[in-house]
Amino acid sequence: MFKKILIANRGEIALRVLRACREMGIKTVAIHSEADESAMHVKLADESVCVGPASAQSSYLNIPAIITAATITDVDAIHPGYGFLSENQRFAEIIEEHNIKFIGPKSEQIGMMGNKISAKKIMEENGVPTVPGLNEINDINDINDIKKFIEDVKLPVIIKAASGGGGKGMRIVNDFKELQKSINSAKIESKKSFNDDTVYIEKFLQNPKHIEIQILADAHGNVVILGERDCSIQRKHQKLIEESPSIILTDDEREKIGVLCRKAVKSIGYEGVGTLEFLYEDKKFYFMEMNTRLQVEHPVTEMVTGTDLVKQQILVAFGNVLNLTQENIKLQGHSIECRINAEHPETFIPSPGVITQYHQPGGLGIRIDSALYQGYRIPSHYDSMIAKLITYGENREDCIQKMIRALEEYIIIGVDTNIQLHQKIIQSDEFISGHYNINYMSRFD
Amino acid sequence: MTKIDKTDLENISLIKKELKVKNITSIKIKKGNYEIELSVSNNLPSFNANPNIALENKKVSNNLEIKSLDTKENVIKSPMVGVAYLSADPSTPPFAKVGQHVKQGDVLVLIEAMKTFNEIKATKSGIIKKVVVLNSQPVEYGDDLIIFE
Repeated sequence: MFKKILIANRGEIALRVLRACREMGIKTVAIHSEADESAMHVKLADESVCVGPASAQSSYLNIPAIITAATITDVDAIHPGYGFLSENQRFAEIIEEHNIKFIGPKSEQIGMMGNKISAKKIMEENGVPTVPGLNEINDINDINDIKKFIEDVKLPVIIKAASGGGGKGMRIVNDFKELQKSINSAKIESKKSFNDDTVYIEKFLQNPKHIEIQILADAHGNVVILGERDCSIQRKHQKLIEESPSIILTDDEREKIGVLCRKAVKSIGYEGVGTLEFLYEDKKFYFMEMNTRLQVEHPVTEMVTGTDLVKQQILVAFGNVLNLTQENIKLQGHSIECRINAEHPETFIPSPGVITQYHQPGGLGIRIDSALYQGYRIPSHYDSMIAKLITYGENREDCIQKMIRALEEYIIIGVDTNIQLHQKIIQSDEFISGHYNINYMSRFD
Repeated sequence: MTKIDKTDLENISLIKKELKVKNITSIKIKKGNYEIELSVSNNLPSFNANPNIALENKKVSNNLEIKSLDTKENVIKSPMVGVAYLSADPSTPPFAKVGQHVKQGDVLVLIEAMKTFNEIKATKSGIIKKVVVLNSQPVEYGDDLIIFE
């Protein structure tokens, strides 16, 4: 097994990876910025290296500094966590060149899936349903093709950036007259944000759910599906609440989409954990994109499958054959995750600062993944997510009751948090019914 | 230098009406902590005699105090801790320049906090007197960002 792993991340996910390493007898190296000197992941690691000043650009995204830290501490592998460099093809490539193992897929697979158009093509070749669309719009001559496409699928349509993410370079077109203008502005924005002005057009689904499929693959061609997560409660493309399983899917639907996902992932020789994100409307799945890394919301899958995804990730990265088969993966019970953010529950204004009092809920079926402690100062330079509250129950009702109880017990004083917002959502009729879609959060704006 | 406006004249006539004064000898208006001072010739019997009038007088000055708080609305303060930016990106011109007329709701400053860019908008229409904050300067809650005339 690996002797030592460098964790190229911060906050709760650095701690999550560190805990898995410790249980596996693997030494850990934490990296941190100047602002994170007293962070929990630094305190608990076997070794730590400061890689730069507070700004993420000069620390957690500073590839030369991180590679140097890995070299001087002599690690065998690097775990990228999520966000930061986790889906950076160049980072994975440089690590490969240094004969260190990148815990994740090969760099070329990151590249393949990072380009939305090529990812869609791979899925289509394997029979995975995608959102109907026109793949490349090169020049104005295509306008006739676009016209024909819009006649087929009907308005509205959405223009997206091929290298896009985070909602940038997207335009919804409701009127044919706006089309040319929208294409041009989407091109300008995506050139600016991603240095690539390739855009594509898709049918715009109005009230879909966001459902994603968790996969796990080893380097020997074995792939398993670990159920799905419903992540439709999201605001400005940021997920807020996730649950597994989705109560609106039938076993038959789950089985069918799973088979197709396995086939697609196998076809590119993918290795590691990954998530295929879909929109789901009128009983139909539409592939959106694949994330080639661990997801923030992976704990809900761990709870209902009883599988430690981080340990599995490390085992397959080491080259082990998967110790799971599809037959022995059974979804049991129900799990929900609430992302606790340091932000005002009504205005959403970010609220960094010192935690003066901290008490976290406990008891059967409660899990908290967080790097908070009393007296900790939440820096303003990084993400506002400070904790994940996960509950597990034998069924959805039980799980919701546990979440209501845990949210009541959770005390974080010193900064604003969105705990009250979660209480409102969890107890709303629409959430309880399970029939909510990605537009749910617009009522709070 | 601020000018006398309609509100000042309305306030004076209000005071005149409430206090039933006629023979005003001089008027002083100070705009700093908004102040109006009226001097009348001494031989008016009704002035100090009626306690009700004194009460009314107090009410009027309360009103004026509220008015004087308005000057605080001329300052746009930071609602959060973060880093302030004066333009959308380095290659574009700043949102707000001294002397520029902006409309209510116009974006004046961006504050980056916890990976989000938060638009700080004009709470009123007016002319910008001073841009206090510097580009990419760290700001704290309550720091002055922009001052209106």
